Amino acid sequence: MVESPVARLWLGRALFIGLMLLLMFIQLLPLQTAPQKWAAPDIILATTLLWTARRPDLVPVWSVALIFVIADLLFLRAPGLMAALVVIATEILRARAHDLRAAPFPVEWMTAGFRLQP
Amino acid sequence: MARDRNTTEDFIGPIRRLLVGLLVFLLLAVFLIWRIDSPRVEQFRAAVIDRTVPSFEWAMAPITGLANLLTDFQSYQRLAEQNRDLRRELQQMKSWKEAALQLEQENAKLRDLNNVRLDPEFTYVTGVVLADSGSPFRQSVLLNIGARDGIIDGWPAMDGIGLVGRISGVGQSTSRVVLLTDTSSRIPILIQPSGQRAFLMGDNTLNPPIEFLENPDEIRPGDRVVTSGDGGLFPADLLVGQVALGSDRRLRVRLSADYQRLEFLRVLRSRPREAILDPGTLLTDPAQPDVDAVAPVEEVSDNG
Repeated sequence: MVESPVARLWLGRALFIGLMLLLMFIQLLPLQTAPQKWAAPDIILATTLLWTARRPDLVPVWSVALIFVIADLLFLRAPGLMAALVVIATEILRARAHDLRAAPFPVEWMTAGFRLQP
Repeated sequence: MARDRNTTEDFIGPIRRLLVGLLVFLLLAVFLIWRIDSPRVEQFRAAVIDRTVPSFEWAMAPITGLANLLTDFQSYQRLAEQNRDLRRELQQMKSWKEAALQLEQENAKLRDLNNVRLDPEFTYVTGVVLADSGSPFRQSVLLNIGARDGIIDGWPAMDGIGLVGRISGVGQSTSRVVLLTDTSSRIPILIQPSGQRAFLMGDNTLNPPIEFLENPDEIRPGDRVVTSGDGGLFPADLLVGQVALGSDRRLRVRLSADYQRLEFLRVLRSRPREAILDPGTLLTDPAQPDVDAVAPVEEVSDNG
């Protein structure tokens, strides 16, 4: 479908950003305005970590920063703080992405999990 | 594999690290600016939401409608038992309606006797809920009315029956309503038969607890809770809900507004109450000329 590897790369990156925007949009839908008994997992963060661990080339730093600054603004969080923490977390994960390829799933899972508590 | 990475990124590595460091520094600087000058950044946030969220409206309406249709469809399965319950409830309500009508007539008569003037009728602006906060730890909704429609920070928002929250953050065409269930929501309330004043503290549950209550013994579950209007923040006598005893033995409020489905909210135009500033002047006969009132004072000063 797409021949050149550069085009494929940018298509992947655009796909990532598009997916993130879609997830944000779904979270903003006013489906449930009563307080919940439990807090659902932060799917945007989890997806970002997953993509960084599996396909680090499709998740450049600037896109992570962009997505999370937008999310901070839309979700009434302190702007910039979460974005900075996530950039640090993805950088650590990115440095280990090659080693994680060979690691069994639980190790990968734990490595991503520990990044969630910086 | 590792050696391959080292050779290709040998000279890109440090620059990249520097840029990432710079990025993190920049993001933390944004956070710091927010800490220092919060109102301005919040204004910026309101402007961003104002620009972005309403453009999603075309997609939000059908998806929300579809999801609501699905939940409705699920509830059809329990249609028969719901019908029975509703019929029973209707019977009870009929007797209540009779009582209410009698009380209303009696009330009107008494008010006529007392010559009471109630608050001038509130006018309101009705808005559609565009989005919620998107976070499980904050309870707020975004309305499609804003400064363009004359909305001002602090005005109360109600659904058809009860208080829902208050406006906090106004954009050009959107405004945010902090719900009573949000952890930062505090509303002065009055509990009706006993007339006690207290605070309603949101704590991210559906039934917020009552705090700063003088005498809990005089309160019983089922008492009416209305806003007290203390502090001039809210108009008085807006229905909030009923007192209920929580499973943790704390007094909570069962909110009258239907929080399960907030679709349309009306924002009341609440005017600030007039404040009495001067201590009042001496009452004198207006027919008396001023010279007489001044003259004795001059005599006294001459003697001294």
